Amino acid sequence: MRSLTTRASVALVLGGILTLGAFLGAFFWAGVPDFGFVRTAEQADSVRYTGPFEQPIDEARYLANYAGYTIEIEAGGETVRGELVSADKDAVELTTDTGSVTIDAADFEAARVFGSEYGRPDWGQKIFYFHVPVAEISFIVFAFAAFYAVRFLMTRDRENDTKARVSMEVTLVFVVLTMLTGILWTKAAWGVWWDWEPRLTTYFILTLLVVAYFVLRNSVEDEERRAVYAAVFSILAFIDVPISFFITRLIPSNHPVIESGGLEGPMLVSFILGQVGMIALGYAIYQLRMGEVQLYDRIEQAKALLER
Amino acid sequence: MELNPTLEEVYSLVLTQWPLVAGAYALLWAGMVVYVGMAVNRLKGLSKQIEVLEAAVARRQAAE
Repeated sequence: MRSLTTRASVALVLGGILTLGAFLGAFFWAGVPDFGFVRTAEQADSVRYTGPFEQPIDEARYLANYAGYTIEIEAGGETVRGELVSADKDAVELTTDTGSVTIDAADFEAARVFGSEYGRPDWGQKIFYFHVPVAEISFIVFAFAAFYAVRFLMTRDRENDTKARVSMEVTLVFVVLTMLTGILWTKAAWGVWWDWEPRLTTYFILTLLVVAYFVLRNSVEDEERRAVYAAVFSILAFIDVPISFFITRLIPSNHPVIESGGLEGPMLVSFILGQVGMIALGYAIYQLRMGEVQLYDRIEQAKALLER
Repeated sequence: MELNPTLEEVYSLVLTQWPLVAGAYALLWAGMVVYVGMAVNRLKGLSKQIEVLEAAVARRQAAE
């Protein structure tokens, strides 16, 4: 028992230090990648500035979004350049060097908009440094749960059932954290709280399966039958883990996939620190819960001795 | 410090992500700390309980 809590304490401290390192690395060392772009009429001094842009426009009404931008309009065989004041389906008004000019939409032939373009900093990507490690740990701990379930079915040793159950509890913790951080990332990146795309759908099924495991355990009274049913269920439920992991690589999916060489140095180091830290924290939680289970067993034994 | 209006426009389009990033980290750490804290508390309680019970068992065995 003492060695269990010592291992848990060491893993907790190690995991805490590593994840703190990952946090500092992610926010103060790793850069912020661009995700799309931002366009403005004027140019400002910014490291995000990527250069001028030129946007062709083929209908007058589309110019409505570009008030304040410099535009060049071809209308009635002439080209007029100036700053756009307003535009709608009837007319385009702009200010040129010689004064205000109004062009009838019927004469409109084509236009070009000029302005400055900036990389759009993707702050939401910061969630990735912890969301991905937490999701990975949920897969790994689920694999341990399935392993102990197989061991239980082979040996019928109660300790393997206990290890499988505790592993599933740790899986549940990480699955819930993955879902929460994932939903917030989805909102930041895609603008919606949820999307029924392959990765999210298969991971949601995984969440339901993990919850169902505990519902099943609580619904069977006989200890032996409960352990056997739970073991068989967790092995079958584990089939969803490789499906959820590989699905983004097998069928079209909006969910990002980390590719080899896809992360620059500081990002990669922070990410690896986060992964190792989360493994340590997962191990610490597992050891803490195992310590608790062992204490319960000792208490039951002591009570039995006193009642004799 | 006042931002250049153009930069203000650039940042206004991206700073909307900050509450979501902060929320994700807050939920992650709060979840971890609460879960570990509860487990440690339960462990402490159980440790006290086992000490008392095992002492009682030892006393009974000595008396026998």
